[in-house]
This record gives sequence, C-alpha cells and structure tokens, in this order.
Amino acid sequence: MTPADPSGSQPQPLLLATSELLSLAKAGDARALDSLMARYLPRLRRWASGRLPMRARSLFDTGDLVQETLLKTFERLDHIEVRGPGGFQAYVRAAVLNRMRDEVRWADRRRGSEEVTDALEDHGPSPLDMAIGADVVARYERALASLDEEDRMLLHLRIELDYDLGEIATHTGRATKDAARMAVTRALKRLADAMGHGH
Amino acid sequence: MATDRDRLTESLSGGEPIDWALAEKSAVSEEDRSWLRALRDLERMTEFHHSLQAGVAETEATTVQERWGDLLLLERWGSGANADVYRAWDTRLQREVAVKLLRLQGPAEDAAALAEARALARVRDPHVVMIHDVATHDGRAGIEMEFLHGPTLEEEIARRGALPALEVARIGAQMARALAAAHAARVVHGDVKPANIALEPESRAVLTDFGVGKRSDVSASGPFSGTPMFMSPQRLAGATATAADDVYALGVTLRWALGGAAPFAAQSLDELRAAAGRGDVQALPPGAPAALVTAIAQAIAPEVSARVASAQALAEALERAAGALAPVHAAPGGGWTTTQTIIVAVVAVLLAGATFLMTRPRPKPAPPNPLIASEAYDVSATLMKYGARGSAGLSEGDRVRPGDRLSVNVRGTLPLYVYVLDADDKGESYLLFPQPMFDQKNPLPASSDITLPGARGGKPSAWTVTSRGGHEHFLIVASPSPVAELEKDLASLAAPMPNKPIAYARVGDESIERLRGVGGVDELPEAGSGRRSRMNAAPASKASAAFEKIRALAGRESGIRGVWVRAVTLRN
Repeated sequence: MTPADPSGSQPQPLLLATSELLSLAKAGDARALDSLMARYLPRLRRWASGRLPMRARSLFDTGDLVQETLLKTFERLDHIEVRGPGGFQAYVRAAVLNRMRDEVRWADRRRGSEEVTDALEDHGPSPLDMAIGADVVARYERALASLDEEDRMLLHLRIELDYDLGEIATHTGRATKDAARMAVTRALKRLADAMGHGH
Repeated sequence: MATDRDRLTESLSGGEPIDWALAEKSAVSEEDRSWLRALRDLERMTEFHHSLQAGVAETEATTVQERWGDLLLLERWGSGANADVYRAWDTRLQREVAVKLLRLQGPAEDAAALAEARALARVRDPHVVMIHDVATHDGRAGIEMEFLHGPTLEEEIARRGALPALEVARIGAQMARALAAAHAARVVHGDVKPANIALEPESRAVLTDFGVGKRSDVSASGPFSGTPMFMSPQRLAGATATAADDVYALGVTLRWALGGAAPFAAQSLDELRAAAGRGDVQALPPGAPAALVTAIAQAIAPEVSARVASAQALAEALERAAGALAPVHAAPGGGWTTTQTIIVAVVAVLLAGATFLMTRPRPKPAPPNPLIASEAYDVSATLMKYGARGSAGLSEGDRVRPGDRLSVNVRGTLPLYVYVLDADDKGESYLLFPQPMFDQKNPLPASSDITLPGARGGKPSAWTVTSRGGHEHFLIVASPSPVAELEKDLASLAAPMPNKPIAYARVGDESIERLRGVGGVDELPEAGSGRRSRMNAAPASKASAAFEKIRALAGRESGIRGVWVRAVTLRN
C-alpha cells in the first residue's frame, strides 16, 4: 500500500480544505474527487441511515442512494451553484434528503399505494425521530434552515457528521482548532436561539 | 444568562459534559428555560449522531490515506489471522467494492491463495460473491470483490431466532445452486456456515468467504466453536474438504436456521464427532414442513453414501420444498405474479456512458461470418417500459427505475432467432432471452408482433428492474439462423424448475467478441444499401452521435443480411 501522495511534494488531499478540494475537482483533479468521496461518503451514509423512516428501510439501500447522490453532485460540480464549501454541504445534504423522499414516493407508487405522499415523515418515524422526538427534529430543521450556509455547514459537520474540531478546522480551512471551536460555538448558539424561539 | 449561554454552547461544541441541573438553576426567565431546552435537545442530537458515526473516525484515521492499486481504502471491515477486509472505492470504475488483502507467510502462499481466487472468479452464479480482480500491489496480494451490504445469516438468526420455513428453503436453494456452480468449476468452499452467507436486498443470498488464504485445520481435541459445528464426520476425522462436505455444511446451516439453535448438542469436539457420526440432531419445533426437513436430513446424513448426491440435487429438493410452501400472490396492477417476475440485477456503478461492447478490448480480428450472406429481411425491435406512469418505448439514454418492467417488441419479415442480452456496468453480460422457462421459443414467427420475454406458464412476463444506479446496457440480436456463440451459452443453463429462481446464462467474453465480429461493429455487412454500422459505435462527432440516436429511436431496419444488432443503454 502506498500513501496518497508518496512524493510528499504536494499537500495531502486529505489535509486540504473542502473548498480547495472542490476547486481541484472542478479543474479535473481525480485525486481531489477521490478525497472528497473518502471524506464524506462513510459519514453521510451513516447520517442518512438515521433519517430514513423505519417503515421505508426495506425499500432501498440508503448507502447506494447516498453514494449515487454524491457522485452525481461531483459530476455536475460545474453546473451546480455551489459558492463554497457551505453551499456544497448544503447541496449534498438537501440532495440526499430529497432523494430519499423521491425513492419512498416511487416505492409507494410501485406498490400501488392509494396515498402517495411527498413527506418522508409520513412513512413513520426515523431512528432520529425515535431518539429525539419528531417535533424536536422538525424544530431543528426549521432552525437550521434559518441560518446562513456557513453556519449550516459547521453544524452539519459537528452535529450530524460528528467531526471533531481539528477535522473541522482542516475541512473548513481554519488555521487552528480554536478558530474552529469559536466558529462552531457561534453557530450552535445561533441554532439554539432559533430553536428556543420555537419552543 | 448571556455569559452562561456562551459557556454552555462552548462546552457543547467541544464535546464537554454540561451540568444541566446547575444550568437550570441559573435560568431566570421562561426564555432562558426555552433556550436551555433547545440546547439540551441539541446535545441529544449530537449524542445520537455520535453513536451513529461510532467507528468511522478510527477507520478513517487508519485507512483513508491508503491505497491498493486503483482502490482507495475507506474503512476496515474486518480482520482475521491471514487477511484484512476493507470497504474500498474503485477510483477507476467509480464503484464501491470490498477488498481482501492477504497477510500470508510468503510468495508461495500468496500465489496459492491468488490461484484459488482466480478459480473462484470463474464461478458464475448470482449467489456466489463476485470477484472483480485478483492482483498484487506494492507487495501485498489481494482480491477485489463485490461489496455486500446485507447482514449475515448468522446475524439474522441471532436477531430473529428460528427463521420461517419458506425463507430457509429459499436461502438453502440459492446456496445449493451457488455450491453447484462452484463445484462445477472444481471449487470447494470448505467453510459453509451462517456467517458466510450474506442476505442482500431483493431476497438474494450470497455465499461469501470461499476460504481463500485460510487454513481450516481441526484440532484433535479441546473446546471448539464455530466452524467445526458445520464439518461432516469425515472432515472431523481429518479428511480434506470435498463437495460432499460443502453439502453437509449447508445442511447443518439450514438446520440451524430452521431450529434457531445449533443442531448438535455438543460441548467438545469429541462429543460433536459422536453426535455428528450418529446423526443425532436436536429436535425441531413442531410443525416444520416435512419436505424441507427431509431435504435437510438428506444433506446431513453422516455417511456420504446416504447423503444427497450433489449440491444440484439438494437445490432441486429445496426448490420443491419452497414451491410447496410459497403462497401465490397476485401483484398489483395487471396480473403479474411474483413467480413470473424476472430480476434484472442493476449495479450501482457509473461508467461514463460507454456501452459495454465498445469498452471491451479486442485482442484479435473476428473471423468472417457465413451468416452475412443470407437472405435479406426487415426487423423492428423496441425496448418497452411498463412503469407507474404507463407504458412507453425506450430510447438511448432513457431512465428506468426500480419497479419498471421491461420487454422487447419484435417483428421480422423472416422467422428470426432473437436474443436479448443485458450487461451491467461491471461488464458482466447475461442472456435474458431465450430462456427455457418461457413459452416463446426461437425462431420467432415471421410477420407477427412478438413481445419478449413472452409468457411463462401462460401468463405474461417481463424483466423487472430491482435496484438502481449506473447504466444498463441492452443488446438485441436477430438472425435468420441460430447464433452459435450465444446458443453455446444457452446450453449451459439448467433445466427449468417450478418456482426456482431464474439462472441467466452469462455470456462469455469470447461470445461478445464473436458477436462484435458478426454484428457489424467492425465488419460491416454489405447489404447493398451502403449503410454503415448498425451498432452504436463511438460517434466521431456530435452530428454523427445525433444520427446514431435517431437511428436507435427509429426502431426499424430493412434490407438486413445476416445478423442484426441493436444496443440501447439506459440510465437507472
């Protein structure tokens, strides 16, 4: 086995910020795409598995769906309005949730269900709903949507993908772990403010 | 409480514990309390996701920077004494795979293990784990294979206890077919057990872990667990594993699944030898179906001479048992039944729009085909989709989705031998039609509209798309005479059995190469019309690409001599 960059003359792709990887990927750097895939696929798959309603779990493979969504995003990087890493994260997150809705809707139709609904939640609780409560999840989503892209990215990385602050510093191009901590703290506070108002 | 809010959010962002009792004491207003509830919800949200992501960080930290050839190692999936298994990303073909990297003692052992893997790669069965590549990179030998997502049968039994008889019979039939295919290729599994059976979506069981690079010695005495339970008396006595031992191990596996517990009550290897030698199995719960119990009993007969003769024979017995147990369901929307539904395995791989014929290497020129000089004829062929939104003809690049049913409408001015092939993005090609179980047979009559695959047992059938991702490449071949290369693949099919899963003939590379030669890709049949290739050869320009697409859309050709071929690539 060899390291990703045996020469050591170039930065390790895994140590580059997502924005840098996106730029390289747009320029056709296959290693950057590989690194983005390696960076996000495993965690996105696990995150998505927590959002899929229990009753819909037998309908399709969440892992395949996330992988396909991520690949399609990469294929269309030039055509997607992704202003920065925040936009990229927001796009992928929304794309995965939308794909899950589409798949469930198609499965309903295929099974001849009389009622075909667009709401993922109508297919029963997800593991997250069961752990936290569907009302809290809904409030969280509303509050998250009210924040800007940068905050949403930081919270997605910290809360949903469980990256530690050092990794977030790397991914978001911040100089230090403390800088990442400060940014995440501010985003969390704004999120709690928005959720608190919904109580 | 402004300062507290800063401190509390900082604690949460850093993953530090929060003293909620103390925080609540400092809350002086309803707004403070609402805010605290929100932050506590976020802590629970964080904890939930932390548990969901457990294990990812360690595997990323140790593996994501490693490569093995074209594979980017994403996650260590498991480790054994002689190998590590990783979930990996094939950067060349853009697909998720599993790779088993061997840790053996030396070049001789590596070579032997890789030879075993290559033998396994020749086994063609949908219920045998698919081997993509066998290679050595940077001094480390490994086997790239299909990535399996499902739980193992062992996990399923642990979770659910005894499984329903029909499920056991179906899993058993699939595994017996898999073993029959392996044995036909002179591959003995040697370690059939519930932990080596993966239960994939769409009721597909897959036999894994063919013991490549493993040793399976049985110690002479002492406590044991796992594998010895599935060993025949002959193996427990020290004999080398044979096909009959695989059949026995599958029987024990199925007995375990049916009863929900180990079939032999033994606490030591000596006790197991004695119990297995006597055939002294634990009683099953009352009500176990006789046909299934008998089939399993014949598989675990202590004496080889009394054991069911082969994996093939066991598969047939289990299929009969499953057939007797299976309820007949009318599927919604037009008289399709589950037993008439044919599965088209669609793999989640993206391959940048290339059709499988054009991507295959062409090592040598194909010999001339005598069929090219035959009588001229007309043919039309349209790939049809029956989905939730009704039926429609399919054109190059159209999208299909899981649940869509596909058929081919054909009409010719001569009696025609028609073949329908499907290739997945892995490059595997299957012959979907003709198949022995369909009422429709070649040659198809002239001047009639024929829908393929046709009826099965008098009821209409179709190919059903069951999973998504990537591309699906269909090839429709017509000829006034049998196409020898495809007929050869057809001859490898087993006779049809009621209710058994359909085993499609895999079309070998040689057949495809031969077809290229006769189908007009490289050797254009001169029909006097001056037309160029009827295949979707790689277009030289946008204009020619459009031209090819229009030709594909037209669905009709005339004045054909010899073999006619059309390729349609669909997205799914």
